[in-house]
Amino acid sequence: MIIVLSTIIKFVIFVLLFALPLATLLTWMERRQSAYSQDRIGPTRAHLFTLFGKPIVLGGLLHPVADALKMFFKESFAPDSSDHALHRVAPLIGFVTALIVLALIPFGPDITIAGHVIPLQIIRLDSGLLFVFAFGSLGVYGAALAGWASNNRFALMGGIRASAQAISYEIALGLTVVGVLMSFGSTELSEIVHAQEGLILGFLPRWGIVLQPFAAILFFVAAMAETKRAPFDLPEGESEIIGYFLEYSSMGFGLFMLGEFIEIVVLSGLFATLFLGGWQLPWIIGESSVSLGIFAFDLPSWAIGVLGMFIFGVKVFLLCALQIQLRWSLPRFRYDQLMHLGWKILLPCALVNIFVTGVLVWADPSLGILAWFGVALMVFFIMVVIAGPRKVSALEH
Amino acid sequence: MLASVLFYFGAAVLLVAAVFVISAKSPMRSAMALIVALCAQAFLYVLLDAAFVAAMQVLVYAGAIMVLFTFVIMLLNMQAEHQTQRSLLSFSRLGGGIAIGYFVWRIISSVTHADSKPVDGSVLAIGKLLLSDYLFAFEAISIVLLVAVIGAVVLGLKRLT
Repeated sequence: MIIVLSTIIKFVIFVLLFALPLATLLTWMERRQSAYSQDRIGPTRAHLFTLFGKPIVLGGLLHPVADALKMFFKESFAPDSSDHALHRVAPLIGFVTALIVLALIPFGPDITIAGHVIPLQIIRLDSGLLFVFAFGSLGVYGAALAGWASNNRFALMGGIRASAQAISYEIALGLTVVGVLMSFGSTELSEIVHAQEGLILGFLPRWGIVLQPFAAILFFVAAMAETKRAPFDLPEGESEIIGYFLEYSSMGFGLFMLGEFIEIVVLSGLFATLFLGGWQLPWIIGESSVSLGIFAFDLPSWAIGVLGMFIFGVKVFLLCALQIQLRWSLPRFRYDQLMHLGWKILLPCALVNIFVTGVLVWADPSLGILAWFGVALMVFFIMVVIAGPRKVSALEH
Repeated sequence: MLASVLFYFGAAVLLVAAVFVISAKSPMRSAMALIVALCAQAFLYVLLDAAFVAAMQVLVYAGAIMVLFTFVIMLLNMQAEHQTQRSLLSFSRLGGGIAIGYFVWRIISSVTHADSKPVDGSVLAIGKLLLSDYLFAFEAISIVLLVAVIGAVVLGLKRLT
């Protein structure tokens, strides 16, 4: 009884009060951030009332509301020649699978209320990470089916591109995580978070990104490709084929759009869990007490839970903002570049990462060497970024 | 009680989807029904406390192999078939009948000789088994897959003439 009740409450808190509103807010954030990136003003029209002759637009915050109303009241249209049943099911698939993945992500520590230990994670499974990938891999059927069932050539091309892209990047995505599994020794997401507790080498957080910086970069790139957003938005490619959702209107289109933003939240949550220590901060949250350097004080279990949820939420939010910024910074890949990146760069790099991680974990099971190696790699990456691309003189072009 | 209700639910979904796989005219609907059947099977594995096998079932079969199936269907733009080849129908009936008979016999014999014991289905236990008792089979399968990959590359290479 207590399990059913707590699961419902967790679902309401995490999915209905955190993930879905965040996804809706991201539609606004994308508009604002793209406006800043492109030196525009951004959304200014939707408003409820005027004050002193000026419309109160709240920085465009009312636009998601206006969008939702528009989506709900438009006619839901399906072409006569489409496969009606599949056409109707397709938008739900991506959305539902993304929500299932969300249920496996721990969003806070285990809390104790009235003698009951309640994990702040909706579903806890021994092979949780594998289920994340399993349901993540099912998500592509939404795009593929939408493209097929619309009976429209451009939509079909979008669907074909989506499935080819998903298959190519799924392999790299699965292999990058193997290094993380080797470092933390578990496939259960809350255990992975627990393994990232505290410090390593005495001064660094024991996070996945310190131990596996290379895997973190590969994972982020491959997972961005799975969300089908720029620079990997070939299935959509609005300037060439419009996309697999070409024949959708009303809430069908709305579900694709919301599903895309939910996927951003899911990817951020997964990245935070695997590489950024989930709901914990190394110097602040200990086992059951909070220590800020010299002070340390005990908090009740529920307060630690709320604090953990807050920290997790902030990490997820920052990662979402990073993804949106990337979407507005990078141009779309060409199709051959996409395949080249997936098969010839990410896949071999992931295999090398597995091998190197295996050797280093075998050499030092306390992960010390792995951490030093990770630090060296991060310094190298930062230096590469500072050095910038090779200067090519005008004559060489 | 709850477990048996869930089992019958999963089994019913599995059977209906499996019948739909062979009865559907459109290849895409057939493929989608197969995905539903595979997921229902994974659900039955979860009920048997074999979550790892269930995850692998969804990940490998429903998530990867079936994506390739749908990819091929979409790439060739296959439409619904309206005629079946009469000449092969009797052979398929015979083959299907034999297969059904064999599987019914296996099911009945396994139910009547119920000497199964529960096993540990956790990732840790399966990983240990794969890298100790079944190491040879595990490596042999990897080599078979490697041969298949090399074969595909060789067949897919354009002849440089």
